[in-house]
Amino acid sequence: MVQYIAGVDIGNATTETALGKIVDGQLLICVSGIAETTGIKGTMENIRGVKNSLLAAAEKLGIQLADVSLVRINEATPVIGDFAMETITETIITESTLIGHNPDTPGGLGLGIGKTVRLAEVATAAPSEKYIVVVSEEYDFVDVAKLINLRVAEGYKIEGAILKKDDGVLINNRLEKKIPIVDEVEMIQGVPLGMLCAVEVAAPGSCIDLLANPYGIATVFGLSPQETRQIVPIAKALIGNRSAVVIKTPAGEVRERRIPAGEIIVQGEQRKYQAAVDGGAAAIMEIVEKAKKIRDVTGTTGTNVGGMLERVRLEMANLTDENYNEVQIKDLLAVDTIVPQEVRGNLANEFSMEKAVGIAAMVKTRKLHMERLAEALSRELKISIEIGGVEGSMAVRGALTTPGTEKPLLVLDIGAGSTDACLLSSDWQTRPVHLAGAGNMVTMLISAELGLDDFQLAEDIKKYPLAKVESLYHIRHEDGNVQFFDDPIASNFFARVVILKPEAWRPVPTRKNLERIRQVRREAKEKVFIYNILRALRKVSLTGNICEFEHVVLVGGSSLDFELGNMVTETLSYYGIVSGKGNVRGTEGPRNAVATGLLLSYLEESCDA
Amino acid sequence: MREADQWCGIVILYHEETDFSMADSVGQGIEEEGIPYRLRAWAESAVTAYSLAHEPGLGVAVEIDCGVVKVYCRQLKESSPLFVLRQGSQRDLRIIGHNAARIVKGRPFLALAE
Repeated sequence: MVQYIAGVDIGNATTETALGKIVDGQLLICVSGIAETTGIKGTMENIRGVKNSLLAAAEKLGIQLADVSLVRINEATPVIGDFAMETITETIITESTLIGHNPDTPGGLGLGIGKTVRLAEVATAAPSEKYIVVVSEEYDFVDVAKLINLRVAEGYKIEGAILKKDDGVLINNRLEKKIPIVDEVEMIQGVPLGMLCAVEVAAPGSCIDLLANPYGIATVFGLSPQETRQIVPIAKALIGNRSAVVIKTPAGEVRERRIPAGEIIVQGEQRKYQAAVDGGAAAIMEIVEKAKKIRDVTGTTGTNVGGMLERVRLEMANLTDENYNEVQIKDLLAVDTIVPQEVRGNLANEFSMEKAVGIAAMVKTRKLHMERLAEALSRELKISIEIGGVEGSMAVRGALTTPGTEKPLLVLDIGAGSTDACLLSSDWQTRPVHLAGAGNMVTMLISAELGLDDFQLAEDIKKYPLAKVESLYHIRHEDGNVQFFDDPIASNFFARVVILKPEAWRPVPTRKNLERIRQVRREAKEKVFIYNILRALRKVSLTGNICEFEHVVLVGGSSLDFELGNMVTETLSYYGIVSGKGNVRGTEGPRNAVATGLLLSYLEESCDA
Repeated sequence: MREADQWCGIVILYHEETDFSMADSVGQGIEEEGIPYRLRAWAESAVTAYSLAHEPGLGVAVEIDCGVVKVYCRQLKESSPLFVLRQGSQRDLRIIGHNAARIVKGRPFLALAE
């Protein structure tokens, strides 16, 4: 008797099929099909995706859909994740005092100290004082240079210049007496006049020395110890610049403020635990660990975190028709990060690195309504549909077809919103765990730390390797290898860091270098993926000892990540665990595990029967 | 044809006297980037910016002919100069100068305002 049975896994992104030809209870051939998931997982819109996926597989066996006698679909794990970012420090400058700006080509060299004055008004100022001239955009650089030379010849002491246009080098080249010049200052009209000011430009290849040092600023302006304490954020924001301007205004004040970010309350089995978000990730994770089995998590209303937790709750309630109040948050992941934030009250888009905490939450409900979907599918395809086992158990079963694995085995499926793990013990018992924090959170961290403001770009940085375009004909990959091309590389990529997407390269619009971007990417993955994998292992383990595991297999979309497999192998080998990307049925790589599991479990069940 | 001294920089070759001010604007862009440049009126028939780009030196040359600016670099074919600008504003001419210098410096190009 020949039978065609299919296992279909409806995932968040793709719908995968494992179609088997079964003769007398023996699986002869198994092929795979893959299609994009249509609509949100668990809804009626999925039907089209399921059909496409089945057709793709049926074509490989050369059969019609009508020949398939049974389709088994997975019982989707009703898990949703979401994340939020809460900045916990902020730098505020009341009445601007700082231009910590880093133009490509400042002019001159050295340090100049004097009172700020408009170029046109130098002639009417007192000749005894030292001046820093402020030049708006209506002047041509030739005239500026002439005028400064003239005034200096007349005996005025001009010690430095602040320009709106990118003319620093041009002006400096035409000056008889060289002065430091900071150019490209967007908000030139915001520069306070008649105030004591310091302009510093460092030689190419070095950084400003005096203005990035609190005591340096104190020396220039004659500050008291109390005032010196206040200007630390300025010095901090200027570190690493080639040029900078600091102006002292009488009422000016700079503050680094801690923003009240609210509290997180974790309801454990026995008692409530509380942690302040501005205490950082470690404090939050400590109460998450302490609570062990989490009943629910809430946050202070009116804060980002509080809002995010309620949003996850609402989203899940809508999806499952459950009462909003009954949806409970079952896990939380907090990660420390540093994000560039625009300094409030700046003149040239200065940024300061502020501390922030990224938080991901996970919600689990009883069940998604797969029965309704199964009925509709059955009507549409005219094939009988069966709901197979839980996703996790099916994934382990599929993963077990990876050559070189054996029971006990742990599968890890890192999705976009949550990290799912399932343990298969030697006696076929399964133990699933769902954790908050996965792919999307990594993307958020990359986007925030690089100050990108573009989720899709951060997603590309996460997924693909980087390279630096070094000439019109060659690039240097992030591992140092050089690749040459026959045709010239497009000029918009020249000298930029590019993401090597298979379909087309994408330049990263940032001044950060390749090493820094790579470091941010890997650190984000370590903070979320690796941390969660270790957390999952500890949760699944009966003894709490990670070393008791033998095999950890990565399946699902995120395991296609180009470096995650290696990062996991490296980390877990430390604990003596064999781990790596799965290779389902020895041919499918980390894909198709759940679908294969659905098909295989049918065989086992029919054998038992 | 080679510059007699050991000078090394970007030559801006212009054909008509009317192109002089354009050449000057391009030069300002190069100067702001800190690269030496020279303006040179076109005289001998054998000299082209393409050939200048192939002389020892930085490997970049600019040619301005009847209001059209072309930036050649040693690595590219004569038929495909790196930048071609027709009737650019003064700002665009400065940017072309910046970009010609940036080929040498290995810095990303600025976008034209066009």
